[in-house]
Amino acid sequence: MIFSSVFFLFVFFPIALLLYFIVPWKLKNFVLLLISLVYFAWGEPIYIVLMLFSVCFNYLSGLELDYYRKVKDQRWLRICFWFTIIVNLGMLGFFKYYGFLLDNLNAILPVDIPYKTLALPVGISFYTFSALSYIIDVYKGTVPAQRNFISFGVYLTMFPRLLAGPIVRYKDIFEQLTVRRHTWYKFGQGVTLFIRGLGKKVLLADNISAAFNAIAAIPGDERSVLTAWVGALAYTMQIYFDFSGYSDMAIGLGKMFGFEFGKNFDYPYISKSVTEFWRRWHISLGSWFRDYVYIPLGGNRVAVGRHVANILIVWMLTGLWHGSAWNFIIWGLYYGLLLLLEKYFLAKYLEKLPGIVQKIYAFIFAVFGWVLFSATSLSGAFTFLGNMFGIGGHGLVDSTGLYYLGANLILLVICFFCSTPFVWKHYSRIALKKGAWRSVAAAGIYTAIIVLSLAYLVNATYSPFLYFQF
Amino acid sequence: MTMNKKLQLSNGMSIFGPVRIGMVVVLLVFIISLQMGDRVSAAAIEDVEAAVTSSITMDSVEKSTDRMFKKFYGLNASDYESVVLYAPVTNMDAEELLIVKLADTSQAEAVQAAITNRLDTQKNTFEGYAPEQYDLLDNHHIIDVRGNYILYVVHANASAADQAFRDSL
Repeated sequence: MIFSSVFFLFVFFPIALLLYFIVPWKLKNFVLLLISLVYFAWGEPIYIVLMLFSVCFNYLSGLELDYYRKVKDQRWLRICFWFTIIVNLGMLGFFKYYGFLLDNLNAILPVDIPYKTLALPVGISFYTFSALSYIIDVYKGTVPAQRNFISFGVYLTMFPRLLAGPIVRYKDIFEQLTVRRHTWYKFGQGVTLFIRGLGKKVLLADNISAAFNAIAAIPGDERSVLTAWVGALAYTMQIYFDFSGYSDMAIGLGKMFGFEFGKNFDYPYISKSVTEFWRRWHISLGSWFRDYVYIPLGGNRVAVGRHVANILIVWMLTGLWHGSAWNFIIWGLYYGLLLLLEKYFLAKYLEKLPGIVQKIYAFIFAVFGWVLFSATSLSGAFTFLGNMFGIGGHGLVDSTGLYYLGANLILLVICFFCSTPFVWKHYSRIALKKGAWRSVAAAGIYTAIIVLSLAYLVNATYSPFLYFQF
Repeated sequence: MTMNKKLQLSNGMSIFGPVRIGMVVVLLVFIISLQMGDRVSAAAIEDVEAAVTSSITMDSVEKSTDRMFKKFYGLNASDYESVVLYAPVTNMDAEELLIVKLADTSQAEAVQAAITNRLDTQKNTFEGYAPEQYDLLDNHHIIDVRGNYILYVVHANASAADQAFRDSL
């Protein structure tokens, strides 16, 4: 059940909200846990087993780690820690990478190992990473183990962020599991954030996706340079509005239930470097890898050779996290290399360029990245990239390219402005000041977003979020 | 400390340890149960075709085209990894052999439905005027879905074809 579906908006969500607010404070977490499990089981009746396993197993692991800490038994502490890490990663690895691994083994080995392809359990990458952050922090003693099973269950399964993040870390949220304030102001913030996210997803991402899907389906030798660029730009906008729209909805829902999650996106397309882009894109994943992989590996406080290796390891894993396919690994390494290039070579030259040139540079490299990311195969990705430079394609400009440009130009321009702070800045200048008419205007704008989104939703076919597949 | 002692086994392990190991065993059983059932086969369709066609007489069928596949089953052959169809030589025959290698196991349901449709159509055609052919369709047809492979055969010796099909995967 996705947030941008009529059933969620008009049945599930109102019931969940009502139940949550009518029960006394002591029962709120329990109700939230139940709601979350129902939400998960709705789409994944079998894989709820994995979710429940993860909750129970990691809850007990926390208690066990805490116990060894108290009795100062370092040996068992380490054994328990690594056992827990291996089980969590083993589960994630099995469901996510098993088919990929066997595919590649079958390709290089003379024998064929038969296997059954299993559907990827939705959200497994997200809740496993949340569980790992808890385990690592308890092991290091950064946070106390959670003794209340319900609270821990809420942390891991909380339905707003269950399927596609943000990857909330336990240390950022554990206090809110016991004490959190519900205010009308916060609730209102949550509602408006949710509506903005809904608009991003339904009005922008879903509409621009048609252009990319159509262009991706054109055979490589019939794609002109213009067609390829329109397609790549459309996907660049689609993935941003799709994923940041989901994050806005999740963070907004969290606020309605009294939680404060951190920001997950901060206008990534206005970055002046690739390094900055990754500080603004999927912030919760980037900071997860920084804190739990990059820094433990030594970060940048090591010799240059080791630092290069660290960066490449982190980015290969980031790529792999997104999916079990070679194009994701290449996409990750592409960013690893760009970041290294910037750090050791380009940064000092980039800084001297005018801001707008820096922004165009970062944006174009993000577009190339999304082409790698969007492809279903490595050869498809390179064909598409080649087409963008006129290699193996259909000339510079052709009628197909002009058609797609004409049909999507207005939407692309709207997307472009909405992906920068421009729209929000002008909106807040009008609406967020004192004066009754301003509030009315703001309410009008939000109502318009809802009505338009619903009009699209009622007509649209099912369109899940891109990030559900990771 | 007495509280802590209660939580400890003789080797120093906490009592949560065995509980967690037990949970992992349950998880493994769950994963193995998911893995049971039909597996995806990497066998080449040419090999499967050769095995099946050599197991039965092929006098009244001939190799057919993707267009006929579309006509008989209403499906596009290009949607699947590969399709092999042997259709009746004349309209008076009901024998038929179809092997589909799916691109994705999720396609199985649609193909199965199309096959059932085709079978019903054929039965309607032959019912009442060609009792032998009708009997063949009614009692000697097999639809076998094995992971990414589907076999449909109408033949007096259908079970031999099915056995050869299974062995070849």
